[in-house]
Amino acid sequence: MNELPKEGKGPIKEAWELFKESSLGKIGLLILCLFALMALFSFVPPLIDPMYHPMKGVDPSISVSSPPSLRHWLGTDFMGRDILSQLLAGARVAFLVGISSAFMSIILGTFLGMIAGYWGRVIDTILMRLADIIMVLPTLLVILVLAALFKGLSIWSIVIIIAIFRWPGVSRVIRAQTLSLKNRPFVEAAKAVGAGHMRILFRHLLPNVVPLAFLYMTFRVTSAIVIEAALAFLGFGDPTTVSWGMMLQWVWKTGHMFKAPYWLLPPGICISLITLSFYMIGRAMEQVLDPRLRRDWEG
Amino acid sequence: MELLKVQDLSLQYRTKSGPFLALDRVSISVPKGGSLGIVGESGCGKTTLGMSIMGLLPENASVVGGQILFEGRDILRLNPEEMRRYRWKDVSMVFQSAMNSLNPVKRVGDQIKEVIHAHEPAISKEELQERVEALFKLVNLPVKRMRDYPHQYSGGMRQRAVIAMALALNPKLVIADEATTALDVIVQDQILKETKILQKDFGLSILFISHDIAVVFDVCEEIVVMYAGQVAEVGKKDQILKNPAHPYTRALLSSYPKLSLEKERLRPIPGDPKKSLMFKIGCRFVERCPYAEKSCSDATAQWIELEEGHKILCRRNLYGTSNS
Amino acid sequence: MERPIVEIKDLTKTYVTKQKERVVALQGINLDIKRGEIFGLVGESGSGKSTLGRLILRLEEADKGSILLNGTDIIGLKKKSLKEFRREMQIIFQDPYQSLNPYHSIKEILLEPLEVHKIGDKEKRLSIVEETMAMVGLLPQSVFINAYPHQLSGGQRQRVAIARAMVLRPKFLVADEPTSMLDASISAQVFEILLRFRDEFGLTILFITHNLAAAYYLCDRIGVLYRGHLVELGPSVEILTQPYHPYTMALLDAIPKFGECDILSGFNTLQRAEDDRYEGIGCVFFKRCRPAHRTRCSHETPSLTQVQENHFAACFYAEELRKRILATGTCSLGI
Repeated sequence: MNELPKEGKGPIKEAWELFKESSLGKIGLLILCLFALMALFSFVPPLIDPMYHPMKGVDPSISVSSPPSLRHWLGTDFMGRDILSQLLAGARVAFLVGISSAFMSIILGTFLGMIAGYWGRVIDTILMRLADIIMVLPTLLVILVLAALFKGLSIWSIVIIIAIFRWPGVSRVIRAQTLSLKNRPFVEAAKAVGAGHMRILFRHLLPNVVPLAFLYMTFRVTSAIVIEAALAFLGFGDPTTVSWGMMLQWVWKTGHMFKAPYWLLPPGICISLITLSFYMIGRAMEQVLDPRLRRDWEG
Repeated sequence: MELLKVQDLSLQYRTKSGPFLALDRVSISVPKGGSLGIVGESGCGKTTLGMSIMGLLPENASVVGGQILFEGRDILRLNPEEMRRYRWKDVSMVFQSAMNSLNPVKRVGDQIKEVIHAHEPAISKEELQERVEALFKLVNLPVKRMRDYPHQYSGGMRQRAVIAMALALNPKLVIADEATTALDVIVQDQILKETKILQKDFGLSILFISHDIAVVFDVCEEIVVMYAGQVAEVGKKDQILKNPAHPYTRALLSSYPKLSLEKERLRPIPGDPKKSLMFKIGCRFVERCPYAEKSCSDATAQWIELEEGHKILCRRNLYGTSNS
Repeated sequence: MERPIVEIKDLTKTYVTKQKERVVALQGINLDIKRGEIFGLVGESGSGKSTLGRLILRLEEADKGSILLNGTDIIGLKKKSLKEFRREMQIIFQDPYQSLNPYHSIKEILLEPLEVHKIGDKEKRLSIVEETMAMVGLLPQSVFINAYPHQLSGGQRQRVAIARAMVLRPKFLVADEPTSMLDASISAQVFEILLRFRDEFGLTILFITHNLAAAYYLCDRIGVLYRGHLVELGPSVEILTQPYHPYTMALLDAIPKFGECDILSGFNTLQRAEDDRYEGIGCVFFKRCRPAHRTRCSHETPSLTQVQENHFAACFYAEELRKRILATGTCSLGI
């Protein structure tokens, strides 16, 4: 009697198909995978030889910064430590810092944004004023002040502080999305059926809000990585952690900026590339989000 | 002479899932000062037809056959400059959503002035003002609202503004694509009446495209019924009403609630309106047609002329008086 | 005489716009809907017809008045007790493309009402869902049940919306312009489904529409709304062939007519008015009403009065208007 439904899969699989069509997205994902491999691989060098340990490993025969050689593919830093191992360790830190803090700020921002948008009025006002106050504060400066006060911060403190400063941006967007979704017929239908607030928030609004949150996460990751790198570079990072920013700080502080390009360039290029890859992924995701909304129109 | 004659127009869209034949050998004609209605459901190609006559097709569309003759000239062969002069001066269009035509951040009067100025750059400011005032009066819009923005207008007023814009350059043919679909019935009625008056006073030809049969039959003298990219039936309004000969026309008419005292149960056509496929042999309506036979899907449908001016595209002449 | 399933008394709803203007959506509506009937609520945009449907479903709160469902006033009810009543009344909306959550499969969409009200166990729920899918023609169930909304056409989505509403087997359904965005042939299918539910399950339907022809076809009785006021109420045949209110007559004049048409027209009760705003005094239709009495209609507000059995009109001159029309004879359109 009826025509059968069109070919298709669930919305998530469809989104993946769409994502794959974007060359920007594919390249970004590829670069990201390379960095992920680096991060995974970072555990290997110290196992090969203790001198390859990024922080503690010192090549007994080298005690100055040396250019790339067979033993050290990227050369060594001023203490004779292997630069490549440091780079790999830095990738691990970038992922940890970037993704953890982005994740935390997204969860917080989505949660608070949905609550503000859904309940509106007093709760909305309070939350959004709070968000405004936080947004106005300069993240980097505050962290610097805190670092100076506490004489240095551990890497996890940095992650948490970044998350706390970054949730307002996400929450505004999620709140706007929630406001527009709240009055859609499918939400009203759920209300008419008798669904309670929790059900509406988590089963109806959340899935519709997550793609946007996910998109924002890609932006957050880059800014988290850059903030951490900046902090480390300025000397306020966690001295026990090897990150790309930390590597840059060492180059600078030991006066090797113009003398050792094999030491200066790799971390700088990595920071730029990982930022670029997340940006590309973000763009591809935007493309996924848009046509899905437009595709529903027939006739 | 016919003002507009579309002959065997076939048009294809390039899509992700392959080529999609939106129009299949479509032929229609609009006489000077006459009104032709094109009625059909979603996917039948009526909007595509209107857009091709206006030369407003998207990039992924390509004409694969046929001609569109306006006053004898094939507009598919016009160069960009000729097309620019043709579009809006010879043929203009009224869309369903006024917001497709009106810029929300410009005053309505100014927008119409711009349209005129673009085609007649030598026109003086005073004459522009006069022309637009005259247009406003023509469509029953208060002249003092010229300096308002579109959002300050009601739905009916916006549609009138869009009509004024379409008439700004005194076109010979106006294509109305679902022009009144979004309006309330009373406003729609007023605008349709005003349109008929304008048509008579100015000898305007109208191509009225809509899915709403009632409106099309009310406004137009001649009707074309389209289905899945093809023309199914052509005829004068009375001919089709007295004797809807194509099974699709008959089915379409019977799915409309009638305003007669004997309430007949509507007989809906099963299934969904079809979007046309590529170069398929056989009748497009075959899956939903209650009278389909095997021969209907194996060979192309033929044109059967029932009487002067009334013909259908069908292999089986089930209802009409046949001349063959 | 059986008690009506829905009784609406003095229902009023006002909105305050951002510009601090008060817009009256509904004013003192009194209406009863009989069990098993299909009641048509007809009006143009701004008439308040959708608002009425939403107020009944408690999707919005009324300012004044009461709504009795099976004798109980549902307006005062708190959430818990209201939930019980939600099993008895449901709603379907106009836009099939926005009525379904794009992230839920048809199965999840249809199971939801049963889950919310904790009806039956997993197996029972699934069987109710499949039964309902068959009733709305979503066959074969196995194919549709795992599909997602974007794979379905507008007509199919509307069927899902109807199935969702009917899965709880409610006694009362509000259909808010369910066919306005569908093709004619698909609309006819939807009408069929609604009629079948009424015939087989005794479902009472409030059919909200701007299309008088559709209301005439589907409905037993019709109520005409103008700017928040109920101006005429009666059996659908009479509303179309024996209208009493000038606004109803204006609507009939405006309907595009083709084919056999037994309704009268040529009433000419409408006049143009640049400023037709209603300030709250007199008849709501006064400014656009051609046969209106200059003084009386602009100062007194008419209420719904009986003009024939079961037929009411809110107009002081309803009977006189009717007599005039019958006397002078208006053109009847038809082919």
